[in-house]
Amino acid sequence: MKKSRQPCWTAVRSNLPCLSKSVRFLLVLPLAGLLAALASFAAEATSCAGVQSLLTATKQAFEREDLALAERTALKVHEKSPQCNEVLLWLGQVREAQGDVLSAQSLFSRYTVREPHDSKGYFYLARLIVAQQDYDRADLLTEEALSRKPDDPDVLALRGRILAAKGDNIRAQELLEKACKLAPNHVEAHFQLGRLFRQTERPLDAVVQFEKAIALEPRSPRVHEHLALTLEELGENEKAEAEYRKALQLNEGPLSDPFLDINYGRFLLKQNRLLESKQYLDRAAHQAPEARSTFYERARLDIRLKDYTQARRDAERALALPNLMGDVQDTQLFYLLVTIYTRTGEKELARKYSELCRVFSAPVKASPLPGNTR
Amino acid sequence: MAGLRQAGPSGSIFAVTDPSASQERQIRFENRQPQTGIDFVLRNGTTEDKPIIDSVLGGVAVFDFDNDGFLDIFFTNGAKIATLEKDNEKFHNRLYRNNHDGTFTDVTHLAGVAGEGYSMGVAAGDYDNDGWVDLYVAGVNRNILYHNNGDGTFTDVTDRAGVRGNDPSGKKPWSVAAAWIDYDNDGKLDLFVVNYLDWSIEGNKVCGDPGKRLSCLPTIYNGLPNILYHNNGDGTFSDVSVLTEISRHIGKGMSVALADYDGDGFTDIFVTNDTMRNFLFRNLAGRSFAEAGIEAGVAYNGDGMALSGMGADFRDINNDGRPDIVMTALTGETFPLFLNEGAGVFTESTYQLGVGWSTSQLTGWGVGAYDFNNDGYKDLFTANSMVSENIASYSHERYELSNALFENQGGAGFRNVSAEAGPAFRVPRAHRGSAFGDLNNDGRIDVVVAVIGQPAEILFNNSPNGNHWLLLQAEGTRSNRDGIGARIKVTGESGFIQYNHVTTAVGYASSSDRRVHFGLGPDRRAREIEILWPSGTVQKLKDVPADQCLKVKEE
Repeated sequence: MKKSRQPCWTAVRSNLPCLSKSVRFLLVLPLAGLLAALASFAAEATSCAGVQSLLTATKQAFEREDLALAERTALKVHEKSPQCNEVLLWLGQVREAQGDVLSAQSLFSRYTVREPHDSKGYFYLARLIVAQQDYDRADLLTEEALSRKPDDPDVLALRGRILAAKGDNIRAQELLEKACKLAPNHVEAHFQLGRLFRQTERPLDAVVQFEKAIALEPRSPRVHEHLALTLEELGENEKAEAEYRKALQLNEGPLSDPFLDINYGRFLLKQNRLLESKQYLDRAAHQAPEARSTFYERARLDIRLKDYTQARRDAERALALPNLMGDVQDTQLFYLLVTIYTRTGEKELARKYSELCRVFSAPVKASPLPGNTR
Repeated sequence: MAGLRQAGPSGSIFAVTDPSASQERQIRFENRQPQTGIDFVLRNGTTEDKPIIDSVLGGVAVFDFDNDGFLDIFFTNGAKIATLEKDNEKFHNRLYRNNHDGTFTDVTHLAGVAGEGYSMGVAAGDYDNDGWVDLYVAGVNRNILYHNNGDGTFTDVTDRAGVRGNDPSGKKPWSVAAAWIDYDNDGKLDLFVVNYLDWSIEGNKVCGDPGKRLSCLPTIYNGLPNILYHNNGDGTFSDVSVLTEISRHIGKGMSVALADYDGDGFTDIFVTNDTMRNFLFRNLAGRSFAEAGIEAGVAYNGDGMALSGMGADFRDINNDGRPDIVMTALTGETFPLFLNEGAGVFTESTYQLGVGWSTSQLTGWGVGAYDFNNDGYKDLFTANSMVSENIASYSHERYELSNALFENQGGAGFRNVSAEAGPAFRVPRAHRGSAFGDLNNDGRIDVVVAVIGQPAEILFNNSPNGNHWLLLQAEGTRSNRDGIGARIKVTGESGFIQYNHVTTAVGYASSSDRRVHFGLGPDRRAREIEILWPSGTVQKLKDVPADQCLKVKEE
């Protein structure tokens, strides 16, 4: 699978929010509805005088991942100074980290209405929407943000990420490189540039960017994970292993990302370290019971362990799950099921799924270059 | 891997920990092209637009056309684009006769095999059982069957034989490769033709930016069915693609490899397809074929993904008596290795066997599983290069790549030994097809590789070890004369057992030595050689001395 996933803990660990796994599939308002919601809020003058220390405490609690304290402190700010708009952004981020997308969206929208000339509201809204993979709407919002602050590295990095996701790799690279130039210490810009390079088959350049990001922020598990994935692709197994281990170490805690376990479990499977692989895939299955890739990868491991009963159970479960992350296609599961049913001697089922394999095209492994080339 | 060389309770006598083993296993090659007199340069006739045909040519054959006991070499070649004609000598296919002294003589024109059209692949086989090996050349706009006249010349008998490679409407589809196979065990070689894409000059699509065009993905063209010709025994063939259900399956075929994977006595056909699933045509007792790639687990990689299938070899790699499959593919896909588990199923074991990591950054074409160091375990050779000449304008990939060599660690997986195999493995070039055979009859398998725009590489195997070997040339009587499809089991004097079979369909669009090679390690004799001929005859030879080219006539 080896898909890069955007882990949810980024919201807290590196000040980059994304959705909780449990609400990824929630829909946000369509853009028209969003704009209408914006209009419903009256613009008021901002004033945070007298609550600065509380705002600082909110920020600190948030950065410590103490979401409950951050929330309480932010609400205090709001109570004491309802005209202080900045707290809306903090409260929005807290809600986002808690997985309350609609509430977060509402708070960011209120900020945007109250501070229409500030790019930040658009930026936070865009970031929220990116996490739901609605890149077109997020693109419009970053455009708004950039029209207000063209050289904001946060927005440039986000827009670069959005354009990369939309396949406009050339413009994405331009924006990300600009962000890195304007803010050489911008972790996110280096990270996204690394992702872009990895996506465009430039793994060596990707490694350079990930290493820069790590030098700036050594405690980000997702950067270590992406570096590990890239090194794995380059066949640098020992280095990849070390990066996976670092990522895993940093990934402990209540907001840990189960996809790291999946990627590491898959890496171990390739290395024939079957029992170790099982340990991580079992943990991923426990933590992400709705993720198709967990059970897909574990079924592949089960086959290697010749535990076809468990393989069947896992593969069938994977097939029953929606393909939310888009990382395991139905055809891959059909093929896996043929493999399993053939070995369990269930000829009819094997035949059924082999026919489905013939009807539907499987994904192609090699990444093409832009414009249907290679 | 289940190596069977038993030397007592510890198992493999070439255990990885044995310090003397590395010396005995060392593989070295030397490119002696400058000394051979072979000046062949593969010309793709490319143009600014980089049409897709320019990247996928380059089949090679090693075969003994004059029956002097030494392998000769035939190279296919491109043509002018857009006429697709060999309007210049530089586009001629080439035949080089082996002078037995390490040099070769270009006998193309004498032999009459310069060819026509844009050639791609080649298959060598004695289709009329007259004792002289014939040639079939596959191409974009012209397929040619050359009958070997036995006097150093060939005659184009394509039309008379009825093997133009046309589809039922009379249109000539683009063929890349071909294989000689006796699919019905009637003692006459039939012909399988691999077709690629529904492409024409008029329908050519252009990809990439002006001035740095790239090869378009095959996904933007429709695929084609393959063709199976049945040998009528009178110099003619019948197209039995429909009858045998071969044509039911539309693919984007690149190469073909043959083996009886299910042990039913009938040869099966593996076809790599580009960006879609591979085909495994299971031979139903010589009457028809069932496409069983999905059921067998060789259609996709182990992750259920379609590959850009290129070359393939289909033979027993782990000495368990069951033919396995190794294939080349594009960067990021690895070169998958499918181990035959028996009962008609395979398991992709690329990473398990140590081939995954070291091939994931390669794009390969020719491939062969041969025991290059004669230690009894088949190693792997791959001829590598990216697809598009202008790839560097778009990514960090280099178009030209070095070839790669993977040494079988005594049955415990493979190790990439390219860096230690000699300077020839450090030269990045636009490698394409490769053919395998013992050019100088020294018992070590040599490799010939076609290279776009540069001289072919003539890689002589000079591995420094004292291991013993056998080259076995099967001559069928009731079976086809080449013995193609015969399965051979060799038991060394130590009791070590290994398997192989007669085939010339190896690698990418190429044709290899039909003699079957066995490395015997320290065994100076084979205790027994057992041949299961396509006719069903089982023939056993006892106590055969090593280090010889042994001709075996079917009894």
